[in-house]
Amino acid sequence: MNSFPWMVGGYVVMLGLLVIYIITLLVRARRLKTAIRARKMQH
Amino acid sequence: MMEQSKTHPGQRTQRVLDIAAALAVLGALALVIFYAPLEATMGAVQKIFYFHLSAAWAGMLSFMIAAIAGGIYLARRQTRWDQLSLSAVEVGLVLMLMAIVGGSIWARQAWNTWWTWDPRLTTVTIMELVYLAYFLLRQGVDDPERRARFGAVYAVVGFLSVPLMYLSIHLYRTIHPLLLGSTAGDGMQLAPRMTQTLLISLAAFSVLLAALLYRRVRLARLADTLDALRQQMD
Repeated sequence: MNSFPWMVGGYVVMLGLLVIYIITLLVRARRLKTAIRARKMQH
Repeated sequence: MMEQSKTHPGQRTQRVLDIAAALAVLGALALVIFYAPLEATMGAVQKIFYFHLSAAWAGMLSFMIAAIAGGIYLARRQTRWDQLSLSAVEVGLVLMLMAIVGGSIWARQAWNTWWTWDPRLTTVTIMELVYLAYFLLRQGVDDPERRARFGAVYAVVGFLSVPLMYLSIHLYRTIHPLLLGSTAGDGMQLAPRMTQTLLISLAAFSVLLAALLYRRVRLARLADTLDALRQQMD
């Protein structure tokens, strides 16, 4: 049986998880920077 | 506009690590697809093994860093060690999840099931839950100093689940393949090209771990800065 699609699926899911995590890191960093800037402006 | 064009040394290091990690992972992926030979029985699906094992390796390394950083925090009480410990737990969880999901897809072809309560799979689940609980513990403590102390103790004690998971395939009867056998002949027999691809994948994931950790620690610093600003204003 051809298991090539399973290999592709495996890599897509594994690397997809990684990409999603990296995006969450970037979004969280941007939100924190915005919040810090806002707090400093209030000071 | 002026502020955005400035690059801090931390940002430069981050960029170098990001590029190195991306190139390393993509290079390893190219080797997996084009260089590593097809395994005779399982065919292409066996190639999941390279990133599955590398993600698990990087995950275990990350948990070890979390335990060491936790231990150093307990000795020195410096916030940066708590930030590193927290970051390493989170990154380790993600990498381990990658390994579990990849392994499950491989198992569907090799074992004809997505999941089975084999000792390795059971202990890896316990390990993931132990480290997930780390975040519940931290969320339950308001005082930052106590939160860091509890987190550090938990990261040190929680690390016990890592050797338990690693050794489970040697201690119990299991259907999970053994990479390094306890006696000659019961480990995996890899062709030279497979070994080379595996070693490069392991190195690539080590670089990836460094890049992710560096980014996550910077995030932890930002979170602490915001907390400090909030406390100043309250």
